[in-house]
Amino acid sequence: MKQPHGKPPVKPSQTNTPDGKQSGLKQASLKQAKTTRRGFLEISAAAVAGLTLSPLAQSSPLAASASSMTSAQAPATGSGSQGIDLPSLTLVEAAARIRQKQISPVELIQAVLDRIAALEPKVGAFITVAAEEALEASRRAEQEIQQGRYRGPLHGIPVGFKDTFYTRGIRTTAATAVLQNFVPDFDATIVRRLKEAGAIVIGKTNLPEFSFGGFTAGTNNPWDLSRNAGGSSGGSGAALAASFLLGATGGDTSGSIRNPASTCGVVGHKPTFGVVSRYGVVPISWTLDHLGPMAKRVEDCAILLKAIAGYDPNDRYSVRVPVPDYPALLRRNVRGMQLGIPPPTALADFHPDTLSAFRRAVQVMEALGAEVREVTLPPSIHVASAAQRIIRISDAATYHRQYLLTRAGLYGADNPAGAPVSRVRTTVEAGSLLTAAQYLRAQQVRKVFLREMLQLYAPLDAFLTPTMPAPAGETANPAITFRAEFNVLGFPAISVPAGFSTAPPGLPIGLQISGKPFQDAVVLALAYAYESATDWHQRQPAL
Amino acid sequence: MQADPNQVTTELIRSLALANGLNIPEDRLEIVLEQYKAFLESVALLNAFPLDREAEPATTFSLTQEDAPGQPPERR
Repeated sequence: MKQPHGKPPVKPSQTNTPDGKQSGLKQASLKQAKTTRRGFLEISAAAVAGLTLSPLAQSSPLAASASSMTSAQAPATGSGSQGIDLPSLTLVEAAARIRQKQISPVELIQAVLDRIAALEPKVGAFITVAAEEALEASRRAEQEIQQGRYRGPLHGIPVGFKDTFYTRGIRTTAATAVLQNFVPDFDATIVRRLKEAGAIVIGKTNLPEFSFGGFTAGTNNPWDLSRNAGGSSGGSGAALAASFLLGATGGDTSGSIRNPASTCGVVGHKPTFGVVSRYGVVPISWTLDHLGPMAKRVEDCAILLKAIAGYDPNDRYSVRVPVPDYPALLRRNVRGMQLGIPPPTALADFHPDTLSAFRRAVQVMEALGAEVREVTLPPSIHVASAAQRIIRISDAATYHRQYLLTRAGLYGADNPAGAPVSRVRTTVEAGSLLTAAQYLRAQQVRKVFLREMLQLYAPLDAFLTPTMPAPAGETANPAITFRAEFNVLGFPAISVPAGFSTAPPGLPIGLQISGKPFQDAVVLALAYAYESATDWHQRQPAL
Repeated sequence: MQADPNQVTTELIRSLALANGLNIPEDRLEIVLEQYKAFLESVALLNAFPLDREAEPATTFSLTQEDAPGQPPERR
């Protein structure tokens, strides 16, 4: 096992530069260009010339990163059967090969561990890598499959858990010295369910101390190692982008699944509140925390969500609703679906590249037959993030009281500004001084916000926004971020890759699709339709 | 009358902390004060938002009770 905390940031091995213009709208010729890097570049050049792309594609100024490549071109740090670079496979691709016995779980896990050994020092995605446990589990999986006891698409798949998820026998630190020696004696419900589905725990991914914040100290963005992976589930996002994992989990209180998913160019889904159990996970806020899947593809997320969703009596807020067959519901026709978008004034302060990518994503949705219209935002949205802040910190202060009283000196100094204090400790100490009346005022506003947004969503199938105001390390400060607001609401929201920045070049940008409560399948289907119509997800960072 | 964060002092932070059973060290009072003021600004925003006289808080959040579109409450 290893502990990467405290290591200095890794400098970038190379600088991303644009090598051509693409819309990300998938063309048949792009699909065929996956065998060689030269082929990929040739196609990129063709795209620049507008020789093969549609009018929509030709109008796009988005730049592809010169250092990006398609999955079959990733570094062969983990080549296995038939010369396939196993870690670069998606969950679905690997599952198909395991089911058909083209590759074994042992091969796959070993290949992933080899890649982590080679590249983790650059990325810093993990707090703990459970190599021995993973290999042992892979041998059991191989034996089961050989004996005809194949469990399903997660059998033998390497996954990682944010280090707030309790893992029996594997320490769970929440990236804080307060919990540095904590080894749970049971698995979080999510961990248990994924293990039962046959998934193999590779390790525990990095995060900011106790999940506070959108910056994961020590985790570099695989697309530009001089930049951060976002947060708080930054280790999971970076690990997926670096092909250290084929599936992962994250926690989302203010956007912490969607932020790193967008920032690292992967998919992250915040399910409807109550759909996925929070039991056995270090909390921030009992009524704002959402746990969900992260993966390279939408279909991978759907498979993970199907495995982890469902009522759990150990979670007070778990809901008794049927778990849909999310993967089976992906391939629905989105023609005629009603999609809302914010008015231009609400997006005016977003980063120009983010805004451009969003506009093009909307065009793609329209090209797919969806009907898009601007909506009028309700007044309560302007105070929703304030309500979220007071609820979050009041809950957190209550949880942290046990540690403030006994281990206050162990809180760490993870503030990216370099302040010699723990931002978490300061926040929960100050939060402890708020009154019950102030907390309840926030909950009153929350209820109004929920009612007004249910009314806004009533005629819609989904609502589209950029996931993040700006790419990694860039600054934009809009009044409404459309991120923490969805934690107040509890509505499902997914981030899917939707482009790359031009200035600076090569940084991923995400599209957020949110839906009505318990309409996770609709959100996933729209994300899948968008993903299928574009090729942003096929690129991988060069490490 | 709205709360004025500028009227809050480290002395108040010390008193509130002690009343809540917390002992915030002297060298941390100033930084906690700044964070507390930031929270009060959020509270001021919430207090300024007009709510219906009978608006009830969603203290036990449950979407199963809220998932049907409803009418926004009347504002004063």
